[in-house]
Amino acid sequence: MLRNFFIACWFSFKQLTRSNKKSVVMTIVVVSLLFINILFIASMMSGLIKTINNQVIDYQYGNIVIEPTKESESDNYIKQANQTLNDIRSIPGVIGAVEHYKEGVKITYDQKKEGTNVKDFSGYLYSVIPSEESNVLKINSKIVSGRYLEDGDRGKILLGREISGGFEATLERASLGGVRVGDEVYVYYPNGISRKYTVAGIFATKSFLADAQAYVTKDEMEDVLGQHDLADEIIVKTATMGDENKYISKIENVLEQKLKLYIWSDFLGALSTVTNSFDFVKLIFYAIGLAVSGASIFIIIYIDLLNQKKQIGILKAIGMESKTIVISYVLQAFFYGLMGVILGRFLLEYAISPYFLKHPLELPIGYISLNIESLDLMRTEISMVVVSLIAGFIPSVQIARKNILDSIFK
Amino acid sequence: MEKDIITVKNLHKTYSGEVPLHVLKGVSFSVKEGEFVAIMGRSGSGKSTLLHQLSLLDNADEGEIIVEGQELTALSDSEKTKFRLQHFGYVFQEYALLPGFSAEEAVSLPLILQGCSIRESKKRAREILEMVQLGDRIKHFPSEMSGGEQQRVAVARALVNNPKILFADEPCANLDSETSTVILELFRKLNKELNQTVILVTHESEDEEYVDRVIHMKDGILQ
Repeated sequence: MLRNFFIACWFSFKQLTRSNKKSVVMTIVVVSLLFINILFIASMMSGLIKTINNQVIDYQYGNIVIEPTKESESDNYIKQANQTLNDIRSIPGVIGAVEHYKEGVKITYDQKKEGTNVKDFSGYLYSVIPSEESNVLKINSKIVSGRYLEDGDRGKILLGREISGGFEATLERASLGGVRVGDEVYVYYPNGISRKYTVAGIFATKSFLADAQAYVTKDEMEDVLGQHDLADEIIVKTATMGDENKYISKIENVLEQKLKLYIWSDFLGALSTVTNSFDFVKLIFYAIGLAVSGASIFIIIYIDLLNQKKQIGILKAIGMESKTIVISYVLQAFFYGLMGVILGRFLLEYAISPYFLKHPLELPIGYISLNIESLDLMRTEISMVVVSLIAGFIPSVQIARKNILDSIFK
Repeated sequence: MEKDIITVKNLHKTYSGEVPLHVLKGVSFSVKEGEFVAIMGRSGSGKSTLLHQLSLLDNADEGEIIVEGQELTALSDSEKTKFRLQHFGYVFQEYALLPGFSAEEAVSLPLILQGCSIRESKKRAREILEMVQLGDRIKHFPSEMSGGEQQRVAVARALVNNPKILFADEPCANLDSETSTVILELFRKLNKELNQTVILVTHESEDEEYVDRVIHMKDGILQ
């Protein structure tokens, strides 16, 4: 058996090195394109899911959200917010932590200032310390008009595009109908206080939920609420994604009050059904891609082997055993599969993926780039090589079993 | 007196199809060791079919093929492959060389299949190629050689494992008369100098002068 394998290796090497170089290269290129075809769609879907998840983390909830228990009147707020923040920030791996007041408000806008066509929007108004906020959330990088809030801003408000309207907002009719920077809006707080704010800026993250939020400074909000050093939520950004539970344990250890801790995925809500659906669609695309690519590889290698039918007949006539012939052609098919996978992976990692990182697809839902998951990559690599082995095995067995004279002369 | 190296008894072969073709109709004969035999006959007489059965490239339907006392028709495919490798050599009408293999590699292949080292196989291949006067063409590929040279490579490949019987199926059919003479004289030389048994299928009557004996076939039977 070992001798057969050795002979098959020698013969395969000769065959591959002496074959038409263009034909060998073309076969490898086609296999690599089929490999990319499987992973491209799956990685796009994966990139879409990643974008949705990142939007939730970057524009709304960070990695971890800390909220008061609200078990009693005295537990409606996080107390000693500054000290709590400092304790959390001291945990290794925590990149940043910020406090928010969060009030359900009604915002109104009278564009013509005639009182006849006043539009309103009900949503959440958050308080921020602008100089600290960017350590955790990236709203400041998504300003499409005007500017982000500054420390000490009073009477200023930052609106998401779904509130302001315009800027390609997805639900224009529900918005205030086209608020511009410098316009004045009224905010009605739950405690009965209303304030007039000048719009400092408008942001658009492409996340519908994030763009339906508004921001004022913490000083402004505390002035309205008459509170100090409290918070409705603390948002924490960690160095890595996926190990939030580890940080939750660490945070719980430093907290001096009873609070509720959540990870970002707990807030996905309806989005989780969307991402799960995308995940399912991705799996279907992956399976179809694998079937199509597998069939294509099979056909390519099958045709290549059929073209060598006469040669196989000659080898049998000379005295090469059928199993040596089969091993030899399976090795050649393995070579095509392996080289195709290597070339495909090289192109994905060093050409296609970097290109899409630099030039992500701009879709209404966000900017999408390829997200090649290591499990998909490994699964595809193994599948392609296995399909290649099968594609080499089946026709070579068929031809090796064929009558010698039929192989040579028909 | 030379002993029989191959004995054929009542060999039958029918090709199936819409109209079954009974090509060999009970062929019996024997060839002695060191004999140079030509099987001749008109096209369709069954001479190539007979050679294919004798050389185990095809399976006879009925009858016996005995080589040095061993009956071969009952062997399995794998056993027949090994037997061909160890005891037979073939020269086909269309050379049947592998396009990606140089003369040296093509000739060394049967030895490598027998388990010889690549180095030893190539050394022996070069010696045989020298013998067929292709010593200066050992690194050449089929596409770089003339028809006559390719056929001489095929002869060298057939001889390299010292076969008991060399089978040649119309080896000169694609060659001009001058090159044909070179090939036939090579067979003759091998037969005389090395006592090589040769069974040649041909339809050229002038080839008769090179062989010891002619077996004539007509309509699937010997005449």
